[in-house]
Amino acid sequence: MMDLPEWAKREENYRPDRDRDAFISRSLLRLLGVLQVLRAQAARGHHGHAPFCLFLLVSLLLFIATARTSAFLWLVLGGQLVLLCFLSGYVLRKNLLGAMTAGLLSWLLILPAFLLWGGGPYLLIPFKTLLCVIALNLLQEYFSWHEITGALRTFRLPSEAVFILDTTLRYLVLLGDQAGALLTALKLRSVGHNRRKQRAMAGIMGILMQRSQRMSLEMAEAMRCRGFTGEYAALRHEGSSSWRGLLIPAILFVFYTCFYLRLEGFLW
Amino acid sequence: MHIPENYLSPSTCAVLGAAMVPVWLVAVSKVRRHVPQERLPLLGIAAALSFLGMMFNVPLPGGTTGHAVGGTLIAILFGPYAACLAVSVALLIQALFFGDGGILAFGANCFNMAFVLPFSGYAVYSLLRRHLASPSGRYVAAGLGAYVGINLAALAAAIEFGIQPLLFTDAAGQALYCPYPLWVSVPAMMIGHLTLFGLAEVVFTAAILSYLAKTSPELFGEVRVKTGKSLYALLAGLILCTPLGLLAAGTAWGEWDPEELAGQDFLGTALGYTPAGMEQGFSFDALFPDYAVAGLPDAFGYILSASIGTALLVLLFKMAAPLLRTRTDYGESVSNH
Repeated sequence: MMDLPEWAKREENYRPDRDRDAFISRSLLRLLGVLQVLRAQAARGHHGHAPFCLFLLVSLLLFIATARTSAFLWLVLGGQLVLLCFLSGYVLRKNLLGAMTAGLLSWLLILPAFLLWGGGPYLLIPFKTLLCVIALNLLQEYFSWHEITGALRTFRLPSEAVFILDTTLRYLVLLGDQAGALLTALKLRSVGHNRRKQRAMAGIMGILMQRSQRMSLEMAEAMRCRGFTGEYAALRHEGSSSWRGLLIPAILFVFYTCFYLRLEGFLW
Repeated sequence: MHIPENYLSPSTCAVLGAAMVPVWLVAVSKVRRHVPQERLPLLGIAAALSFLGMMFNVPLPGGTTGHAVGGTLIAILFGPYAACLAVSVALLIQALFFGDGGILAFGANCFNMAFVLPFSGYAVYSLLRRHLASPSGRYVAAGLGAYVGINLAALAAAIEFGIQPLLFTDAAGQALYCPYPLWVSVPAMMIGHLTLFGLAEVVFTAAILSYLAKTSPELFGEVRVKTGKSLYALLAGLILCTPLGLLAAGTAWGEWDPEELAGQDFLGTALGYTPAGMEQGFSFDALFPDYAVAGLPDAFGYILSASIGTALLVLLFKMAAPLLRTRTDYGESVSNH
């Protein structure tokens, strides 16, 4: 019969104190949510001519901001609702909820003015906010970040700004993955009561900082090896898909411009 | 067939609304159990079809108009319970945004168009399909089902109108709500529906059914289906054609404004008064009354209203799909093995 050492015969009586470590799970879930959105965003296919759609968006935002009649705003809403129909239920809920929250906030902001001075054209502001947020959401639902940054270059945005934007978006995913792995490790190793929770989180942030520095150096070296001069070429559309992608936004632009000018009293 | 505000007494509206509550509850649970989640967005498109069908007004000699509902069509595609929900949501959007049908009369309108119509239409369709198994038999059964469905719904609406002057009058004997008794309301409603509007419903149902059978045959099966381009094309085509509904200038029977009602002469002479219950009744200002948008030409307002209504229905059903999903009980499935 095997003679076990004394310590192995003792009954295990380890009961770790209850600890409130929900902050780890919460951070992890939040991070994974952001990563999921970014990945889904980057994987989006071509849905048209990104530079022209960006131009359409900017014009539409201007039209919405300066419109004085609700008829034009209803026209914009009609178009946006039709474009929203092609998105999935989950994306729809997320986008509409965000837009409605923004509209509600702006309604709360104008509420004192309404209570003090009664109705006026400013009552259109919450509606305008809602439309602007839906328009922005639609752009990022129909185009990937890469297409949008490429489109920004077409508008002569400085290469440095495009570079910073593009690199930020790429590294959000790469560093986010690492942060996810570190948080998972922290969650698995957190046994018992941790009195220094802030140190655990600071440790993760510190490690991420170190890694990001290393990655930035590696990236700079890789770019030099590949002959990158800091110049971003504008996204080019070729073939028949180019004019088809251009047609719908062009029709929408003409349609909205004509109606804006007509309804706001600039024509006829 | 949309009963406007104050044509029915609040108590009639309450009774019919209360009658619809269990129907809606059962419909939600049936849809949860029997309609796969992937098909729910299609249900939104079907509701949109019904919404658009109701915008095409057909004129009738005598100055009134009517329209198709499409409830039987949805019942054939998705079952009567799903049709009940789809038409109810379409009616709610019509009442809230376009002032078509009253808010108080919402329960009554749902009873007629979302309960009587799809269930009776589907019952006739199922009965006939047992004897008419051929592919063309489907259209015959669907057409007859649609015809019976819309006529029974019209009859229900006529009875609701007709009992008002029998039950609710003031001290002078004048009607408080709808002033036309059964002997006026039933023939007035049924003549139109037994002829032109019934025919419109038959044509609407059979034409869309045959279009869908050709372009989206998967709609009729149990397999997972994706919303096809043909369905969106059909909706777009119908939206662009909605201004045709403006060609019919008159108002549907029983849908007059209180002022218009005073001039009607269905009792032999002009009514000459506005019923008190209608004059002092509940009023609700819809966003786009009669599908018109302030500042836009009528035809364009009609197209914009159709686009907004259709898109809202598709979006609502797309967003509601996860809420109506079937919950899998793993414990039960394990115990069954």
